[in-house]
Amino acid sequence: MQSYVSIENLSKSFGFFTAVDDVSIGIGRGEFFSLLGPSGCGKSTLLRMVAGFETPTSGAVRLDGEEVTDVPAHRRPTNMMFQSYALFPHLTVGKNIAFGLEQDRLARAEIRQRVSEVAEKLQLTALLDRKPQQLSGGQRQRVALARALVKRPKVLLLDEPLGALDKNLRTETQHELVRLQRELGLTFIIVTHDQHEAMTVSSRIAIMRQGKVLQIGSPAEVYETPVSRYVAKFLGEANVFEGGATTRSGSELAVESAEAGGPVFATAADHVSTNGRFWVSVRPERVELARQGSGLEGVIEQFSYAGSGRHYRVRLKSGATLDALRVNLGAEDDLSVGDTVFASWMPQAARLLAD
Amino acid sequence: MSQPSWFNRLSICAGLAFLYLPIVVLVVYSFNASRLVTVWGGFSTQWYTAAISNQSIVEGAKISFLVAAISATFATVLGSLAAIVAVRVRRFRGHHIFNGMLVAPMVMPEVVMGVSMLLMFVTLGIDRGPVTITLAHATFTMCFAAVVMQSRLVELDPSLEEAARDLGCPPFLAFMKVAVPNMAPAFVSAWLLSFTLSLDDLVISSFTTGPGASTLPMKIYSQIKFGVTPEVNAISTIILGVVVFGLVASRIVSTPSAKSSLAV
Repeated sequence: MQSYVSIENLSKSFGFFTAVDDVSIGIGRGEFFSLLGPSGCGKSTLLRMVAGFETPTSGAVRLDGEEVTDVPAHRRPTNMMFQSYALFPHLTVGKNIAFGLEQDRLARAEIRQRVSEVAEKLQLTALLDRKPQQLSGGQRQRVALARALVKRPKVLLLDEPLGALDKNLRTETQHELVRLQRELGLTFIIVTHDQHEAMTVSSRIAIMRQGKVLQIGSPAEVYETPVSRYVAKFLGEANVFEGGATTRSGSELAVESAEAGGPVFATAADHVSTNGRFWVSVRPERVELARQGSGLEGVIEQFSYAGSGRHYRVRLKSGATLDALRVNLGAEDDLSVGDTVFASWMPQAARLLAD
Repeated sequence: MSQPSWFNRLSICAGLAFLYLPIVVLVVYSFNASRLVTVWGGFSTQWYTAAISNQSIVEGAKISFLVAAISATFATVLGSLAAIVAVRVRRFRGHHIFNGMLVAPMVMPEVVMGVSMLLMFVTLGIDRGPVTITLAHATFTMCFAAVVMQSRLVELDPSLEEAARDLGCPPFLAFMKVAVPNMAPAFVSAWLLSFTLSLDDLVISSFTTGPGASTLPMKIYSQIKFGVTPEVNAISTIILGVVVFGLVASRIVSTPSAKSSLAV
């Protein structure tokens, strides 16, 4: 498949520091693609190379089949929404939105038409005569989005667009972004360090660390089948135990783990090797805790009530800790701190990781 | 915050009195009807009338204002360019030295600057007069203008210009359309500061002047040699008024954020 946005072996060094290290990503038309990683992982630099603000040290960027690696930012068919919003303080909201269209020397009537269209879509019609300083954070965010969208870019780039919003508004805006993206059929690339945000909005996610892409996949793929312990822990929580001697029956494995203090169960495809070092990873919400039965024995050390779920931290006999999450279905809580419990999970709930 | 003690209040009053009492006395005595500077003889504005009908004083004032206006304009343009280089062009070889040299004239002894500029003008064979005073003033006020512009530029979000470029503006136009309008208050502030600094300068003017080109401070200083007259008080009060106006105006325009946050 021909990618709409194609990032080919892209690298960027600042002096001795390599911010982006040989990254290749293909993004399809109409995708909502996330670059996810901790701060300093190179995701913003990568986005800025797509926008044209940074010149790659090596590699190429193609948009819709055309190479744009050396095209300056003002001639690229991309628009960016900045983390600080970067609204022009000396211009009104209307003038801010019209700025890009005026650069293209469009007819006045068309500019007015397109500004009012996008203003309506983003509920900004009443604010067009205000100055950016007179707006709330959420309104500013919408102006920044409108200003980028009004140019009808081939690709909309969003650099941590929701970082400055409070949690409720953030969730609201995430849904709004997804709705807009579907409606307009545009290609969005978003940079974020918030794994929850990336999972909520994206069709696919690239997880980055130290300038490299670790894994690319749909939210379900990267969550269910992480390629490494780092990815597993970065996307939500994971209990990870180093594995030892393994008995296989079909795709089900029983793994002796000194760390866990007993056998743990997992599934793995035939080609996955259990020679050398490997780890078993299981999500807290897949762990079952029971007062009696089989599994890893431990004592509940901590409990926290998180509304939608109850979070238990169990100190296993081996000394390791295990996190378990029980979804709050309204039942009475029958476990408390100090109780001895047995933790177990279905073999298909756990993953084998080679790194 | 605790209430200031009587000792705090007293020391503040004493300090302020030390700074401003002489100026208050000067202003009060400029309205003195008596010819004697230190004896109060009733209220009068006669010395103001005398001052503005004194041909020599008026001539000096004209030169001073002209020199101040032109040198402030030069200083603002040059200072802005220097500030742009210092803030925007990062990490060039020797940028620390450049930044240091930019502000060094602020603490350089005026006598040294005066002598060195005099020597330069003599060496270059430039006739000394209003032109050389203007050049000298532009040189020493430029660093103040640069500092004002620099602090504004640092505050200015660099992603503003990136946003303009992203929306289709070539880099230079992006700077003109987005950065410059947002720096406008700083331009005014830098100009006013340079203007007032130039207006009351005596030392550098004295070194770089030539025959027939005496600025107002030089005229006042030479009059003092023949004793302080109430006329001098009047002129000084006028200069004080202009300088205070300049500084207050520069202060007001340089804090647009305070104004806009009040407006919200």
